[in-house]
Amino acid sequence: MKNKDKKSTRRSFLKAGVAIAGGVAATSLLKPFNGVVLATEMPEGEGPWYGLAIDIEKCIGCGTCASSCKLENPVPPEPFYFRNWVEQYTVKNDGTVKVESPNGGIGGFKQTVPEEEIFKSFFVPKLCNQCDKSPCTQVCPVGAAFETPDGVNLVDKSYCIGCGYCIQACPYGCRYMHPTEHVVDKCTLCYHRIKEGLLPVCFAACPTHARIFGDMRDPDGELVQFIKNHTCRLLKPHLNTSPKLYYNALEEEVR
Amino acid sequence: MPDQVKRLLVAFVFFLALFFLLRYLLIPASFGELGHYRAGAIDDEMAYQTKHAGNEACKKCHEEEVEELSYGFHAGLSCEGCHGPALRHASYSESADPDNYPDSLRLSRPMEREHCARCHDLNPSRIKLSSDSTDFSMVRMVDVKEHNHFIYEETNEIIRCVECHYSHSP
Repeated sequence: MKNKDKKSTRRSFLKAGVAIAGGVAATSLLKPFNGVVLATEMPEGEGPWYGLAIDIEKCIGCGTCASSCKLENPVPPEPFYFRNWVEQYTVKNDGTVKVESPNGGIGGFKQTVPEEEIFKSFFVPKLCNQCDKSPCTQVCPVGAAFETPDGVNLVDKSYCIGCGYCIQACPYGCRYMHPTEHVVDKCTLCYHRIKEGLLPVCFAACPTHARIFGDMRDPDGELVQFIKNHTCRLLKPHLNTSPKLYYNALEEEVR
Repeated sequence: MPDQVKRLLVAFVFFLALFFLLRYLLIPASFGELGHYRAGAIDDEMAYQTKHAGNEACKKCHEEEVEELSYGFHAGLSCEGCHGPALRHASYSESADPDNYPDSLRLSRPMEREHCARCHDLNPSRIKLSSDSTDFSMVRMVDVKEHNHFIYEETNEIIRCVECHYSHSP
């Protein structure tokens, strides 16, 4: 009697197991998994939708982008508040990676690793990725972090309560707490300039034109053409934030 | 209707009115027009004044320099990348006489070796060229510490890059 009970339990267990596996297989055929979104999906609407690209091959690490940003915008002068900055990546022969960013790259870089130990080395300029599905905007409890209709993520400083939740949510480290205003500050993509038809100041100041700013809705524009003609990658695409900052020649080591 | 329900209704209406009054007072006027944020914040951001003028503004007075910059290896550089933000400098120049130019509005003229080194110092992170390369699309690099390291006896100062290389058209 005892044996028979066990048998029927095993059979029903196997039946249920096969049914679940079959169901999952059938559903996956109906709607294949595509969780990771590599390219940003354009929202519907009129007018420009801004995006940006950086050509790592052209960056020489002069730091003019970082210094011009601090001169243009009300960013505190201390060497740990930045709206944009440059990192120097050095991959050593033993496989370890060293990342340096003295004063965000303002004033240039010195290579501190002896040349014979270097496997490869390059600069990575960083700034707000202007994500389409920005985690910073989603977590704001008061609606002070928002995305404009033209795709720029901004902070409403008169409405921000300074809780710092968005600073933790940004996977790219692009936000900071302003030390005297006690509200969150971040790259605005020089919104005051782009609305007047000027380039964001770091894009205008870059001596090698490693930074490309443009409208993602303009198929003949410089930005879309650059993304088309280069092997562009995004930072942390697995987080599904849909960043609109495209990097040419982005190495696997960059985080 | 029983008395207690009437009294409850009065309290209910009072608190409902209080809720809508507070809501009206606390939510900014343009909140929710474009999304879950204050639409006026976009105008606040646009009201910020830029500090950079652009090369075209420099051309008005420094035509020669901008012209020189346009055909040398430094073609395409932003004037303000080296000299700093110039909007106040430029807008003052348009109205005032140049003899009484206030020193506070003068722009910097960086001449020290370290300034040139930001782009031109040897660094393995930059694309390496052999010394006899003729590819001038790349940024040239020299060891800024070693290159022509002469020291003036009178001043005990190291010779500056700009004494051999004209920075607007090197």
